[in-house]
Amino acid sequence: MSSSKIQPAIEPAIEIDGLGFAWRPGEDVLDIAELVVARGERLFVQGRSGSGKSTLLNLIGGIVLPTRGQVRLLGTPLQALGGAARDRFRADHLGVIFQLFNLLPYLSVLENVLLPCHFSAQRRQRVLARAPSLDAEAIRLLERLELPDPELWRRSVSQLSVGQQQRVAAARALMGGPEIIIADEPTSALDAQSRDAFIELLLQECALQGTTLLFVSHDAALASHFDRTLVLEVL
Amino acid sequence: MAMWSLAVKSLKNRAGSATLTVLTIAISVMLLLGVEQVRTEARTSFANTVSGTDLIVGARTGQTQLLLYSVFHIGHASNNVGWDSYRAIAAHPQVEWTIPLLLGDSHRGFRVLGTSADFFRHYRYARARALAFSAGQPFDDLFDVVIGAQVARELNYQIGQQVVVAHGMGSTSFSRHDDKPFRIVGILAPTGTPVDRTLMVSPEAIQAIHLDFQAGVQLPGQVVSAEDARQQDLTPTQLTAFMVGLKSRRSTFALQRAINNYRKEPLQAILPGVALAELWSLMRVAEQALLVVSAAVVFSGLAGLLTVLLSGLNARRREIAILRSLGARPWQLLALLTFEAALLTLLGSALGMALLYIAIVLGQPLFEQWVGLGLEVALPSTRQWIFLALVQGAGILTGLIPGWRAYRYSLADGICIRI
Repeated sequence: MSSSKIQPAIEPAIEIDGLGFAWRPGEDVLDIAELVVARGERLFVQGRSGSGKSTLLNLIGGIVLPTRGQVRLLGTPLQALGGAARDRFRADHLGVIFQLFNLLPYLSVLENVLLPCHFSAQRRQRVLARAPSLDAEAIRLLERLELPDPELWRRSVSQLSVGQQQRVAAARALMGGPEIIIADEPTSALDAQSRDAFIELLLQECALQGTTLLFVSHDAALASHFDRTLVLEVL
Repeated sequence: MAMWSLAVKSLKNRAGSATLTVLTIAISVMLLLGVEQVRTEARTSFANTVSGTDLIVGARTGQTQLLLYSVFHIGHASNNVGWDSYRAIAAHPQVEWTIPLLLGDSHRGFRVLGTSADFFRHYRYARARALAFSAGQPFDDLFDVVIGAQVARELNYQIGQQVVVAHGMGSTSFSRHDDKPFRIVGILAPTGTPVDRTLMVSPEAIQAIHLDFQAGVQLPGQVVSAEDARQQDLTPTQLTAFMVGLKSRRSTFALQRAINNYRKEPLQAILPGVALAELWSLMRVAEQALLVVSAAVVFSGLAGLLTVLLSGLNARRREIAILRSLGARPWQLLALLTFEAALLTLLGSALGMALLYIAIVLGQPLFEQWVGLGLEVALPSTRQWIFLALVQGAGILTGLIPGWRAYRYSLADGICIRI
């Protein structure tokens, strides 16, 4: 990204300013006056369905542009980028974990973790700067997320439990050290025990890499794991 | 590029439905190319039913009618040609050879043709192929008969067997020339022409079996035995038509005009190639209908492709959102789906061609024997290449439909999966 001047020490990870979004004029689904998330901060976004969670994630992901206000990631205003540049920005700097079904069913576990490096040269280079190979880094992440079995890495993802699948998804989101990870209800399909284990593992690894985490959930009980909570209200 | 290998892996994961889709397209492509090949071959074979003959001469009728009864043995001549006229034209300095054709009798539904030994020497079909004997030789004795391949096969006749010729057509004719049986001396190899369905005897034999006939009826009390017939002058008085081979092609039109203006009786000379082309043009409708049907089969094949891709698309909405979250562009998702359709179509076309070649190799002997068409394994013709290109183009266009929907999903869902 030659056009965006990233100055890690100074710029916050996410800056939101007077943000509003409406599918139709006058029907706002989202309204955030100001939000600044620092580098390495772990933010819990709590909101019921219909509170505009998906819209917020799509705005931060650069899929849609705000109706008013602006979103800056790592100092780069997303509106200033064209569609292709926003897609590349997302590939380079964002990791995403979904609620369920994060993995491509026709790829093995390892191939799924390696996917971000197919789409982003920057993430590929970042991996190779500190690890001997892409595979080695993927394996390191899988082991960190307590999936140490080499036999499992070659397996089809459909043979994994939901908890295992979410940990593979976390490994994929962390692959290549993106600055920001957004997680959309990643624990809603997990039981309480594996939910807490998953959050702890994710938080540990984010702390290790200095990653900013935006964790979205409807479940207020999870807020205690995080530095700060943003509550989205239904408008 | 990563997207292409993803498309291939994704297809491999859905190998079952992908294989069925490829098979559907393959069968439709095989049918399309096969129909085209048979059509071309049939046209060539038809156009070559007679080759090497410069003129066909008969009593004055229509060009097509003369061709139909003299070559295809369909219908009857309304008038005959006098033997004197035939001899006079045969003696023309430009004429190299002639083949007399005497029709009107039959054997169990197959036409009997009275003709000279020149028939076996000069008659050409396909690309200048001469008649060949699969057994025996040309007729020599008065009551010898040579039979076509199909006659031999259907009636299970062997060399040396005796056959009786009936007067007129139809297998249930009442007046049979059963006092003068013929002996089979030769069986011709298959040609894919009407010759296969014909029994050939000498013109004199035709005359001999009709000695005691007048106006198509056997005269009571005037039976001429086979032995008596041999003693008589058996030069025919009339013939149905005759084929003419010229020393030089250049004199064709001059001789045609001379024959058409023949003074002693009204005659007509036709150019077989021209008449065949005219006749074939009558069959164009059938030819086109065949093509339309096979095009419809291709259409249904592509409709199957569309169904498979579209029905699978809803389940792949998650896949689309995942790829989108990884930075895939909307047009890349459109390309992904379209590429899949293109790949399936390409595989289908390749398999279809392979199936066609296998079918030709396996079915060739049967095809040659039953239909008389010599299909060969050859590189696709220009028209077949055009068909393949059209199928591929249609496959890509078909793929644009699910591709477009994937594009729309990627914009609407973004990186949030709707479950």
